[in-house]
Amino acid sequence: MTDNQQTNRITIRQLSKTYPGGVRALNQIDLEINGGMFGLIGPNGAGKTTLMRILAGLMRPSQGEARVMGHDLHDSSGRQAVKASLGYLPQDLGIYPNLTGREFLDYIAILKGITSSLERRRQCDSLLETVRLTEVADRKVKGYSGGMKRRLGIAQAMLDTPQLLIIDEPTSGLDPEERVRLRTVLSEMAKRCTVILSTHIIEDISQSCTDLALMYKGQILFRGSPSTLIGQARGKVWQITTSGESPNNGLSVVSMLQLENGVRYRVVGTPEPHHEAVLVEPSLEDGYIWMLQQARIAVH
Amino acid sequence: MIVLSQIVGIAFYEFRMHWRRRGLLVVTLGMLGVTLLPIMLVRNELSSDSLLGAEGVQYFTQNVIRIHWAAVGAVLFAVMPFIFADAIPRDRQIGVSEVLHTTPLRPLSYLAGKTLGAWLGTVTCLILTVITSGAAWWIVIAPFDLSVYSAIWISGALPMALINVGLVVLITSVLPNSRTAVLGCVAFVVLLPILVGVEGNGTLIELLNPLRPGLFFYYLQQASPSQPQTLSPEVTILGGTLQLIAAAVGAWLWARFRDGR
Ligand SMILES: Nc1ncnc2c1ncn2[C@@H]1O[C@H](COP(=O)(O)OP(=O)(O)OP(=O)(O)O)[C@@H](O)[C@H]1O
Ligand SMILES: [Mg+2]
Repeated sequence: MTDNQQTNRITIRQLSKTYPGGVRALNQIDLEINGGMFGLIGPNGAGKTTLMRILAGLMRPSQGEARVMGHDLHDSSGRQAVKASLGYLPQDLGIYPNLTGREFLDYIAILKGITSSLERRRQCDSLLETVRLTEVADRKVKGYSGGMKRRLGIAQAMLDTPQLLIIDEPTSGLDPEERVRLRTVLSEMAKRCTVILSTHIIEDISQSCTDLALMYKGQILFRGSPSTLIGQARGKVWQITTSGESPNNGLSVVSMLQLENGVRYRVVGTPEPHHEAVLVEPSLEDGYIWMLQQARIAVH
Repeated sequence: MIVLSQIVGIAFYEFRMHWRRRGLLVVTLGMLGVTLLPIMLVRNELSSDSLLGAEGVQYFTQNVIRIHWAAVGAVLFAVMPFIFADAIPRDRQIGVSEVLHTTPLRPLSYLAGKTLGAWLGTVTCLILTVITSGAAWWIVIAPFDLSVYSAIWISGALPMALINVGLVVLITSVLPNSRTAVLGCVAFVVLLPILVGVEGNGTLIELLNPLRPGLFFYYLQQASPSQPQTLSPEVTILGGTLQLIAAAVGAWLWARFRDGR
């Protein structure tokens, strides 16, 4: 293993994936991911799940190179080697409805190769506590709420302290309190391993990721730190107050606030002079919207 | 060590889930029902002192075998495969397989664990039936020849169960969901016997018949000798074992081919 491969835990070069139906979900992606927490964001259908499934060894790339911790994902043996130290949470996780939460965790722990039942018990107990499912641990999964199932899914991904944790929309369906808690848990994990997470909740990224990629139509639109993405929108975010009519012509409305004498809009773009717009400090969400806006303009 | 623990783990949880899904329980109760009901009927027709001695034992042995074997054989042939048909497709349908396939679990261990789990379920079901209904005959009606009774279970029902259930689990492993798995099972249980002939004919083609004529009719013959000509039980078991191995190799190759697609 060369030094380069050791520092870059994940190396992706010219990676493409075309589904049998002809959909090109990934289009010649180049990406390097090191330790820490890495965020993947992008609109629906951008290719986030496809990329994550390839990295988890569930799917072969059509073209290009993908290496995880030095293992080539084109080879069956490479994929097998990656799986030995991987935690993965799929976007749509299924759980056997007839097992209890604790039994399901135990089952996955066995498959991950933890042979000692004492050690399994210890890890399951501790993870159930981490995701706050201890109270319902001995109830059948079919009686769980959506958020409980999601948390059980996160717990199974963290079994056996993986070196690479790939989690596809971990916070979808979680209440705000649990989301905040989970962020802390994942940040802790990221000190010891590489965490790749995809999300539609930009706040998750801004609070926990040091590095991110914005995907659009199977390509990487932006790659860098959250603050750099924010910087992209500097000078492009405005506040406009109108008597009610929405400011259009090429502006993207990020948010709106009903006032007594009208409506205050937060917009991204270049407003016309008559709007009397006030420049404001951008957020990560503004950066995201600005980049996508530019990409859509470029496509047209 | 890890491989062994994975196989045993899958088998254990598979077995547990099958009981919780009630299917096995219903089949066990069904088999018990079919075997216990005749006890009541025979009992009523019995005038207590008319049948005693060696003749009586033989008579009851024949009866107990005919009734048990016909019922249990039919269940092992036509019902049991359906219980285990979606053992593997169900994982795909539920979406658990996404997680299973990102663990270090190898395809062969997965297949072995699932098959073993199904076998465990079937054998438990058989043992419950053998003991309960055998004891009921013995106590309620009369003693019978235990050696013949146990031979039928061990060298007739057991191999038939293992071959049929194993084959169904392995063959349906290539199918995408529970619905197609049930259709696949219908093909196995209904179409196959129609194609190769329901009764045995003494040729190798009868080995494909899931009724396993070489076992089913052989043991039925012990009760009434006017049964069709079939292959011997040994050849039937050997043929079934070879089919199991072929199905396992096929399922394994398919899993390797599918890996990462
Ligand atoms: N199994 C499949 N067969 C064919 N096309 C697929 C398949 N899975 C995904 N796609 C297509 O690939 C593209 C990328 O999908 P993907 O699921 O990777 O997007 P995503 O970024 O994860 O979206 P979301 O935010 O909605 O989860 C989409 O156009 C989708 O329609
Ligand atoms: Mg997705």
